[in-house]
Amino acid sequence: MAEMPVLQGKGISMKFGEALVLDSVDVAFHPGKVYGVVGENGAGKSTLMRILSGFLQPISGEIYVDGKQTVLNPYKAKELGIVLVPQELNLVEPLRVYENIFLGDEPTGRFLIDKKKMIQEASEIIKNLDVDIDPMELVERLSTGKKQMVEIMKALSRSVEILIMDEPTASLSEDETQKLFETVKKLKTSGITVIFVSHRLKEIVQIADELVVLRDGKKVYQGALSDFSETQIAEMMVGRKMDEIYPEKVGWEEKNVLEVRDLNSADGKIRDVSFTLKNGEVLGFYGLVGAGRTELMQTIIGVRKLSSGEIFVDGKPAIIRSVKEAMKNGIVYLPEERKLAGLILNFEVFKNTSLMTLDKISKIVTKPKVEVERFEFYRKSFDIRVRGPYQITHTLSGGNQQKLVLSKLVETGAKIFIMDEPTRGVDINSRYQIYKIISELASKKMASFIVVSSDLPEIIGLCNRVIVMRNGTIVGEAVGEEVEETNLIYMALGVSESQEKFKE
Amino acid sequence: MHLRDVISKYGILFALIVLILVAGILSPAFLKIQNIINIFWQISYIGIIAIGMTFIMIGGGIDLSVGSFMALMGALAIQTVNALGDTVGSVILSILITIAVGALLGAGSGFLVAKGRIPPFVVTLGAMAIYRSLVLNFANGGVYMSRSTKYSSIGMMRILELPVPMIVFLIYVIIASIILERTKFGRYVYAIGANETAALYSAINVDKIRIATYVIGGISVSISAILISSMMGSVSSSSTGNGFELDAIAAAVIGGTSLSGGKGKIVGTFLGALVLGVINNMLVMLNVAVYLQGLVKGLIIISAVFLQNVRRSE
Repeated sequence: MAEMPVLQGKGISMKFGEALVLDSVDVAFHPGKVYGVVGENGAGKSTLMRILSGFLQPISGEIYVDGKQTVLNPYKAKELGIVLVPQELNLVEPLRVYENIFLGDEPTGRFLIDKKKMIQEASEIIKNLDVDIDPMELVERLSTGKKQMVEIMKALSRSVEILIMDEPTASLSEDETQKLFETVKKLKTSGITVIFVSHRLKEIVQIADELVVLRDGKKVYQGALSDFSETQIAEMMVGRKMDEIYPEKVGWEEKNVLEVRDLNSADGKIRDVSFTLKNGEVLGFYGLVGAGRTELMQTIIGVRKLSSGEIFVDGKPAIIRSVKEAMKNGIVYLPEERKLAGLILNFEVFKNTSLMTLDKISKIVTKPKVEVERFEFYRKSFDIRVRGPYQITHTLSGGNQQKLVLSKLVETGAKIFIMDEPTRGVDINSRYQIYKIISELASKKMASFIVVSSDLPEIIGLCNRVIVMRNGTIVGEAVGEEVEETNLIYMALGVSESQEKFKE
Repeated sequence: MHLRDVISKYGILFALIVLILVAGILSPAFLKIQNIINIFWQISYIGIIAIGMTFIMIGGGIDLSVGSFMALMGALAIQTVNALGDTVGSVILSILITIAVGALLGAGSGFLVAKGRIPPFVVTLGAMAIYRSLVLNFANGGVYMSRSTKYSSIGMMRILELPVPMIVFLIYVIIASIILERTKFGRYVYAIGANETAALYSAINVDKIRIATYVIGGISVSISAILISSMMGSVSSSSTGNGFELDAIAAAVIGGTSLSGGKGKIVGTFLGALVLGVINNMLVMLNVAVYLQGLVKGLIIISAVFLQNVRRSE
């Protein structure tokens, strides 16, 4: 009666060292359906995906493709049309977009690579996805979001039967995400199975037909998505009730802790930006990828040169030409790319906590004992899950790494926190904890926050006031009731504006 | 800990012990105290330079100029003493001048790397050619001879039966270890080498720290230059320091310093230098053809890095 699954795993278990990361998981995927796979970081999602696409061999369990038991390896998987778009980008940066799309699978003429055909086919794929990418562009010049799209195109250029995407939307803008979803729907109607891993439950609800929930390496649910709400799914993932992911919004005092006046960056990426941040406020910055939010924040903290404009901290003019000077003025920045800019990954965790504040602790010779004490304080209060202060940072999960970055920033005693995508790649539990830390510090008026995020629910859930940017400048602001989805998206896209012009 | 972890962590120590045992069995004279002291003496010149190199490499750089840099500093020290006369004061003054100039030239390389954004390989390759050309030019291709007996006596001096270069080397190892592993500056050196961007965002003055590593490199070269030129009483403009850059990098790499920065220890470099010294000594004692000694050294360097990679890929 039931159709045969195109891909099935039975009793899949996997160990890394001593840790059991997958515990006899049974999953089945049918053709022409979209599967949403959810679970906290460390639940085993990525491991399961890598096993299902042949990049990892499970320690026990069987995999069936079209009903036949198969031992998968990357080549076999490719042959069978199983394609994985991994979480980490795997592009060759100095090559062009079309070269990356066809890397390892170049169409050839008699002897040489058929360049014309490659470019033509690449343009076709790009057109189908309806994104603004030049196939001749060098990949290194693309934004992270666009790189992610190239990675997806690379998968689509192969003959795909089963498309597995691990967190494909993590760095995509809302617009790009919607375009990706259009493509997924097209694939689905042509009978392709799409397996979609995401932290964003809203996306899962939007796109998936079936839901797979993993928790601590075990499958806790597979079945119809039916009418599960985001909260219900989150509860399945976490295994406990979660009343609200976002803490209650807090008010602010009518006192400017930060004021930016007519700021222009020397490279022209930021034009005439003015705004204020109130005491105890959690101010959102929304915009499409490339709108200039990150660039603005980098200009404020002195990483990017400004050509004109003034910055006032607590009403007094501040000159900020480096991160150090920003820190002296009580401003710290949590960078967008945690692994690239947030942490020294090969350091013991405690050394990351104290990295910005060694001057406070010691004159010349370091005092590891004091540093460890400081780390232990944050380990407790932020619930940073580590084996100990000497664990190497790169072995921590994304959520714990982010809390570690936060500990480093809070340790400076700063009053103004600029958080650029604070919960990207962070599991729900840690996400909740990070929100709680923000709201606690803000409500006690111990700090004020700027939250830059492409995650609309996050911005809406956290912020009472949201500033929207487009093309390097501020195009709108929403306060209180106005902070809602369509309003923000319209402002970010500039749609309402063009409609008004159209009316005229 | 798995066996593999133990081997990779203490691998260099194991290698050294095995080498010493093999050498001791093949040639009992090897283990004589005088021979051991000789080994320390021989490696101290390269060793001191390798310590500076370790700072530079952990900070994410490299210095290819150290060989000709050393010849230039040796020549400078000798010419300064010759000009100032054969007194204790002039010897001390010329040593201080040499160290100061070495620090300054190191700062120059560091400045070009940090502020000029020129890859360190290129900057120091250029510096290597420039320094050698200067040394050759002022001596017209010949030799710088020391006319000061006081200066020449330093290099051959012994304290408690131990040669001065060896003592200087051992003290230098201890001081460098403390600076790199116990000070804020040392922490920052690791940070900028491991992840420059993250260091920048953590309010670390990346350029300043990077330049400082090259200053330490320059000081190390000067110290080594003073020791070797005073021992020889001369500097050959064409041959002094030849190949030193490779031996210094080799000592650091064998000792576990990463060519891509952010990783390494002074103790490792010290042991790496010892391994090189023991191999050289052993090959001489075993009458292995001089021309084949490079082959053995090369194999050891490659295997050392191979073993480090095995560990990383786990």
